[in-house]
Amino acid sequence: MEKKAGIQAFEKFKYINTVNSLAGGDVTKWADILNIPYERILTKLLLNKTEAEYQKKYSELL
Amino acid sequence: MIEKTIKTTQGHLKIKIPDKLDEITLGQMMELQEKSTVNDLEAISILSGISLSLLQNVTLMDDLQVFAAPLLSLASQIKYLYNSDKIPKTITFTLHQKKITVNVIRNLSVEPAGAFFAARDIISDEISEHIKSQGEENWGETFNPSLKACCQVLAHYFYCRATGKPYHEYEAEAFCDEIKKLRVTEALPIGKYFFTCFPALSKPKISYWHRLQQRWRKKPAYKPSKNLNISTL
Repeated sequence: MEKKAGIQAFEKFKYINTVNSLAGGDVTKWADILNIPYERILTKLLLNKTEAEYQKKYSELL
Repeated sequence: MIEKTIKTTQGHLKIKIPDKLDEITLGQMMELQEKSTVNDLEAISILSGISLSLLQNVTLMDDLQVFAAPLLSLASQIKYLYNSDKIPKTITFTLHQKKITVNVIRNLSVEPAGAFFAARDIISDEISEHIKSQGEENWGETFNPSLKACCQVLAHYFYCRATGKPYHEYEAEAFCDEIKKLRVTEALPIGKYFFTCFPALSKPKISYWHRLQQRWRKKPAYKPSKNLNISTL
């Protein structure tokens, strides 16, 4: 479904997609994100993924 | 280094070129690699830093013969350029006339996140290019990263450590100018290292990430936690 909607158009932005998402879409926070240790970013991404999976499963159970 | 003063139509020209691989900078080697064919005069120009037009003013081209043997020796040494994996303990930069030494061997992580992301993209683009032109089968055996890509990765790796400044993507890219001044024999093994350990460009600190992973592994599949702030109940 995401592919059909044209998600590949975001590929050209490379890692900026991740940075923008972590900054909550606030460009003034991009520099802060870029200066965070990578392990923190990785942990946050993993947490987001776990949260999304949990929410999906939870919604399915309702 | 081999040095000779040669007569030109406009006077004299002092030409100095390296005769050993560890005297060549990464920038000089990049220039040599970027050209598909290089004649002796072009090679002397790149290695001496003297423009081709100035070298063409040499009165007797035979005077340049003194550089023929060192060039031949260098050419044979360059063949084995990618063979060395010896990572230097430290790298010294001269920034604003100040010498800055950066520890390397004990700190082979591309940090912070901005540097990690940029280096990761450079490496994956380089590998994709190689696979596109050479095919996917056993690509790792035929793959050698270009010096340009190594230089870019090193610029992101070294920028914060050498300058002490916070990460800035444009300034880190511009730091390539400083990386080009490093000796190719010290820069290339570090650059190559990041290509071989890709995508693990960052070594997590054991005290934090490793403990977190271990804790996850030990935990039962489901256990309500009071600390988790994501409960929707």
